[in-house]
Amino acid sequence: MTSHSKPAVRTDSVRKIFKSGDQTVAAVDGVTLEIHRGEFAAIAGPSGSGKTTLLNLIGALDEPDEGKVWIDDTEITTLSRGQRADLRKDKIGFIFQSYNLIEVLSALENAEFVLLLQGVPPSERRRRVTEMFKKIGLEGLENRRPHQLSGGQQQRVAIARAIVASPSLVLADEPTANLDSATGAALLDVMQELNQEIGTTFVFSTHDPRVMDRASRLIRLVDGKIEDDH
Amino acid sequence: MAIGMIMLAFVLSIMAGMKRDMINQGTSLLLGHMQIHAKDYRPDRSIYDAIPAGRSDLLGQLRGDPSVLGAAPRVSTFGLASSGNKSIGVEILGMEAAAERNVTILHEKLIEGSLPEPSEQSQIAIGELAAKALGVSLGGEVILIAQAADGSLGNDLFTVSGIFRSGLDLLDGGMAILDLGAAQSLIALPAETIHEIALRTASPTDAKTVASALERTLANPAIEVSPWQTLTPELSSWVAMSDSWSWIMYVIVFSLAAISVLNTMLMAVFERLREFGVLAAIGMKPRSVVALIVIEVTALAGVSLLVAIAIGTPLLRRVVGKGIDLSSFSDGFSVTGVAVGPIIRGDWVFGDFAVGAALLFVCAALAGLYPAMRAAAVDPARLTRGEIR
Repeated sequence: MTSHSKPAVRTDSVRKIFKSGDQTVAAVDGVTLEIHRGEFAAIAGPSGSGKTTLLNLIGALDEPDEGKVWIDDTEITTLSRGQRADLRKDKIGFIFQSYNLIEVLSALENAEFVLLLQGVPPSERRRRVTEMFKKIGLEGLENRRPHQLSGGQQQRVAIARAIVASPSLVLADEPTANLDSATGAALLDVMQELNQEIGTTFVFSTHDPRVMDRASRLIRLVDGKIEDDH
Repeated sequence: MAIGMIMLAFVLSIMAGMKRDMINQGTSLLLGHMQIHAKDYRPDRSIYDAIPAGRSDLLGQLRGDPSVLGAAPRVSTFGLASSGNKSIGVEILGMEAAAERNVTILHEKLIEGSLPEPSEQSQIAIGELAAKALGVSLGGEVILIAQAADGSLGNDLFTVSGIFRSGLDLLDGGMAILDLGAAQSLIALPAETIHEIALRTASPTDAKTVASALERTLANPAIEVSPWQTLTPELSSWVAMSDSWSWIMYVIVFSLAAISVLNTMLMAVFERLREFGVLAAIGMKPRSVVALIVIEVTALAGVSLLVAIAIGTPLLRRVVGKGIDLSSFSDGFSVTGVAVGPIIRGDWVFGDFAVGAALLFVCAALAGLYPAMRAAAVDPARLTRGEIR
């Protein structure tokens, strides 16, 4: 475990159970961990190991059946739906496997949406997004719709959306899974640069060994339990 | 929604036009917007219950009132009209043709000749059906017999000066119009004695208010000023029913609009589940998602309104201007004693259009609430679990 200042994320005996008919499956089974600020951590494991569910719990997208989760000093398991939405808006950036950009919005509009929710004035939004686009190689693509962009470009827009509001934590669910290896590597370069330059905490799930190699910390999950953390 | 708005405007326009025409036809043919009688005159209409005031003084007072645009004195009774060996029962109405032109449009309904004027040889105007029943034509002679006020049986010989066609069988087959003086002479009434004064005001819709004000101005407890609503309760009921129909139309059109909005927005929400999942994941609050959908629905209603105005205005202009000609189906019909022509014209009822449009906005926004709540309820975790495509 890498040790940096205060934890950005803390979980205590978190458990999430899914029911299917008579069967119950613990997708996350008593996970306790701390992820410190500035870490570039990967949660690895085979399909069904609980990576995405753990990310959902950390990201306040889902509620645990047991245990507690803290983001900075806020215990998120006690928050209402609206409060969790506010927390996501202000403190967490999300990068999804399938980009999940809004088709009717341009690249720039997609990237500035979180800032819009935060009530940032339009001129400031444009300035910050333009600056971010320049940093991650999207300059000139501001007005393109998602379908006019390649997969790698769309994921860069998703990264811009996740990071432009300066969240304390960015959660990425298999961010390179839909990309070829060269594009995936370039994208990881961007994420790593942002991690080192801005100090944003990155937690991403993956089962790709090349991605795991880039992580400063690797948390291995098997059947919802931490098998290894180094 | 735009089609609903056009339908609503069309129906409201037609109904308002029909209401206007019904009231105009009902009041302008013979009734007037209001009438003045002796307190006990209606409903028996006895010839002895004349207006207990000097005709000249009363008419002078009325014609000096700014709310009165025309005042026509009348006497009225019932009698028998005969020609040769044919006879029919008639209502006899004595009137001043010149004064009547300022109040009613009976003169416009003449198909031959003119209304009776004072002359040595007493004149009579009868309806087309009465002329046929009596077998007389213009210039022919008709004998009228009626109970006179002095107890005698009044009778006189009249020359047919005019034949009218009002479209109402009751008038065309049973009304005899005389000059006021001739009628008074027939039933032995003094020249100052009249039974009623028909009045025209600026608008029939103000009749009740003007009648009350006039009654206060005249300050004569022996006479009453009755608006058309009191004189023809059937027409008044029809108008009230027509207003009820407008509300029924509102309900039908708004229900259709609400169903269409509900359907459209539910489909849109189901197609955009991923989008709402993303919005929720990146921090949009459920109530903001509800607001977003309601704004979208309101914008949809706004666009529909613009489309409705663009398409509906020329349509309504035609309906109001040229009207809908139903003459190939019918020559017209009568409702509650009012003749309605075969051309139905609409009316510009901007107030009703505005109310309709505003209600449609409210209705659309309310109908959008359920899809909005469905959108707000999308669980963002389903997005990462791959349950939303």
